[in-house]
Amino acid sequence: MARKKRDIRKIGFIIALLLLVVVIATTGFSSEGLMNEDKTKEDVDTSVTGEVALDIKDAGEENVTVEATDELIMSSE
Amino acid sequence: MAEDKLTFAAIILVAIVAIIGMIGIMGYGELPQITGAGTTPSGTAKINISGLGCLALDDENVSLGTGSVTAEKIAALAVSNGTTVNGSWSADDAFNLRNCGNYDLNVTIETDDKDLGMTGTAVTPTSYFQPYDDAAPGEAGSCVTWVATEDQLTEFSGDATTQGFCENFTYGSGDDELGIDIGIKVPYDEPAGWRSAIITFTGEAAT
Repeated sequence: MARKKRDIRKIGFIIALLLLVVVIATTGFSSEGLMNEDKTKEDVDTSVTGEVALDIKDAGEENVTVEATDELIMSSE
Repeated sequence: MAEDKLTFAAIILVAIVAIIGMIGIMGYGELPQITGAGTTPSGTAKINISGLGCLALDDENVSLGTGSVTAEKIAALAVSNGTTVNGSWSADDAFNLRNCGNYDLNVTIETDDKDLGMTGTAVTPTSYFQPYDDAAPGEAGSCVTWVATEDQLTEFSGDATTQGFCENFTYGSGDDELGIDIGIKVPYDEPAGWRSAIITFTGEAAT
């Protein structure tokens, strides 16, 4: 009787172990699992740089008299 | 003795069933079906596509060209879309930012020198950025959520200060490009010569 109980425990242990393997395999190695892991782990930080430049031409004496109250319109349109 | 054999057989049976079940769940292929002659074998091809973050600047150098402040005006606002207020700059040249990866990005912008080293004092020289996806080089629908207002100039808040302007910059072909114009306010008393600044765009994976 005691031996039978031991055997049942053994079988139960093996089943539990196999179930654990199945769970790990399906969550850790499925394509969806891997993709999700990549996305969160990668936490990409991509930087690119460019340069902006303009050339200021000497306007000579034309700007000597300036409309001091002139307001610049902050619109590109 | 007979009981030992029975137990061993039971363990082997359970192991076989579990392994077959595992193979079935993991999807390494359909379980073989014994249906006799004339069956058509089939398999499943699988590919795992990893996440790739990528940001490209297709036009790295934006030049507003040569120009000057209109006579008797205190300052000019030159914009890289060719529009200038109170000045003669007319070059049409925008930054063209592309999401070359395979997931959405949240994008920020910063400049290393918001006044481009200008020293004029008639007004405080400064610069602006203006993002858009509704006109070339932008592609419609490339930005899901604008943080900075689209098609409007937003002033750079400081040197080397990061400012978000688009959340969920998409990656699909046909909607993965943004245009960014730069505006520069030039005081009339600014000495002649070239002025420049480095603009940095940074993308982080959108959650």
